[in-house]
Amino acid sequence: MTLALSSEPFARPQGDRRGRARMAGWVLALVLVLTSSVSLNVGASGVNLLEIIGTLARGDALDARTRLILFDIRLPRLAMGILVGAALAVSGAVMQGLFRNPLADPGLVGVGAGAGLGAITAIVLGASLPVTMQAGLGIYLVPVAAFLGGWLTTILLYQISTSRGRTSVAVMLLGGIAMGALAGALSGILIYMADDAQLRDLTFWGLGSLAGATWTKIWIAGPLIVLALAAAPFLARALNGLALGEAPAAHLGIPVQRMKNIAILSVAAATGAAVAVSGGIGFIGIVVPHLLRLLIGPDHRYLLPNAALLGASLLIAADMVARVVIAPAELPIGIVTATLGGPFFLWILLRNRTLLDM
Amino acid sequence: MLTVDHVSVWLARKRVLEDISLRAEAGQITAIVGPNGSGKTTLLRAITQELPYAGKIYLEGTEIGALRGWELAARRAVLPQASRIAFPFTVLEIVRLGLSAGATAAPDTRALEALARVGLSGFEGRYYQELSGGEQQRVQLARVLTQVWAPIGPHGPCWLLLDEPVSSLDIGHQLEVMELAADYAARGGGVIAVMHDLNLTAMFAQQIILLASGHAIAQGPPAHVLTDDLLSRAYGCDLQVGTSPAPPIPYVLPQMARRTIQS
Repeated sequence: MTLALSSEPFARPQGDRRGRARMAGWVLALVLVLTSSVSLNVGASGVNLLEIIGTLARGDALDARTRLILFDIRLPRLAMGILVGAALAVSGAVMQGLFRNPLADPGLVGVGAGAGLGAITAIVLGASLPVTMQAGLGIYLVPVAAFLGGWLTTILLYQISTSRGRTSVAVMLLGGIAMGALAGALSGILIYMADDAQLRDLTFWGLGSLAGATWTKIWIAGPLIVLALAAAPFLARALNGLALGEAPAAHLGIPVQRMKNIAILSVAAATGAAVAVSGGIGFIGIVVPHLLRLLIGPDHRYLLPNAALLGASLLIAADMVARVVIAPAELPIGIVTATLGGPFFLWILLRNRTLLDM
Repeated sequence: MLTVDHVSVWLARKRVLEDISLRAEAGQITAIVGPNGSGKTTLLRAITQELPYAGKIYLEGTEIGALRGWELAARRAVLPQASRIAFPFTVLEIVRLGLSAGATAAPDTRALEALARVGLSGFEGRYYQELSGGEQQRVQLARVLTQVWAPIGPHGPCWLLLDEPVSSLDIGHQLEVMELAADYAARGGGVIAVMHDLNLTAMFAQQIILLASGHAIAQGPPAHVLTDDLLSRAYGCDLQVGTSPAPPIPYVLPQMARRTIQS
């Protein structure tokens, strides 16, 4: 409860957290700008943002190496971090709202397991594809397979849980667990077949990384993620109503079924695209919405945009740590988010137990 | 007027409501009563479009299924039986959910007014989940009230559909909530309530429909429906209805019942 004590400067009634939520939005936007600037400044090479600005201010051209590092390595990586972080956090918040459960995660609707299966299939069996196909897809084979895997699982699960035009959230949750187990078993068979080099690739992919960021990947995943994020504001009021239950939401005039369709499709698109380009980065989708709910309340009109900002900042910050701690080598980012985020999250949970029990 | 025209409802191939017809007038409280499992809530759920049904239901002459969700939301609000909510919303945030569904842009202070109407002034900053069951029920009522605040809207009377609105309230708050519903009706709105308490029903309802195992066994004003014979048949025990001295209102006391099982 300590987070809920600051007094409002305006004459708002008690229990009105909109002012604080808007303020949080501005602060988080500022934090994102700051982390982004620092992120551009940090890396294995000694390229420094201040020096670059100095050079540009003197009217000199940047040398080829600096340009390469800035525009082809650090900027795409930053852009991908922002996209993926926002996608994971917003998808998490939308899923939790839809399932009315703070522990729901895009992983539950099959995106995670399906994408994982797709990626593993590509890594293990990719070498046995016809050479022309291998050459055509090249390094995009794994992301494309991951995206397809995630999408197919989600669509299949959606079909299973929808009958006569109504999607049962409970069937979807349980079906997701079953499909996840099935995808896990199939992945297990493939892992059993994999050789040592492939196993290394699998492990690295499973832990996630922004290291492979290129402008091409961003042009592939970016539009999907942006489109899905753009749908989120239209879902906010519906998700608020849904917190009361499905029938009360419908009585408020919310088109519940259409809203579910949009929510599931946009989450599948955003997480599918994010997982495809960055691998399995856990944690962001659960922690970010949770923190924000403690800070500004569960009103989705503010929760969703703030989740995008905080998710992006957190992922960029984690990526900086991943790049620096064992430079010039890199840690997978999933290790960083889990080791730093896990204990922090536990600490937050212990401090707010009474609020969470409700 | 809200008209139920020969409505039947099947749940899992079993007919739970059989050929019910009902005319509820605006300006009155219409109560649906009957023993457990008689189909009271099922009838209300058909009216609120939660369950598929055979037959027709009209709201002011328009078939209710033909109205869009938001059109319906501007003309009737529904109080559910028990409401667990998913996230730690404050009382004020819950009440405001009704505000955003209403027909017209309502002033921000409406939520506080509604809380005052249900006797919960000062509760706006509390978390919904830390309230008692009765308080939660009244918060939901405040939310429902803000949704159809004006008893007469641009399309005619607005309706409150209440599923056991007083079930977890103490006697003081029971009277307060029923008076609130009566006031809404007196100002031109319509109220349909599923009721367990026959005495409150007798006091406040102008129309009663008595259900037993899916059939309507009586319909009409309290003096007409609340009789020894009809109630004994519906509830399966020997009930005697008394009448209070002026104003004459029927009442039923459990002390006056002879249980058929014991005799």
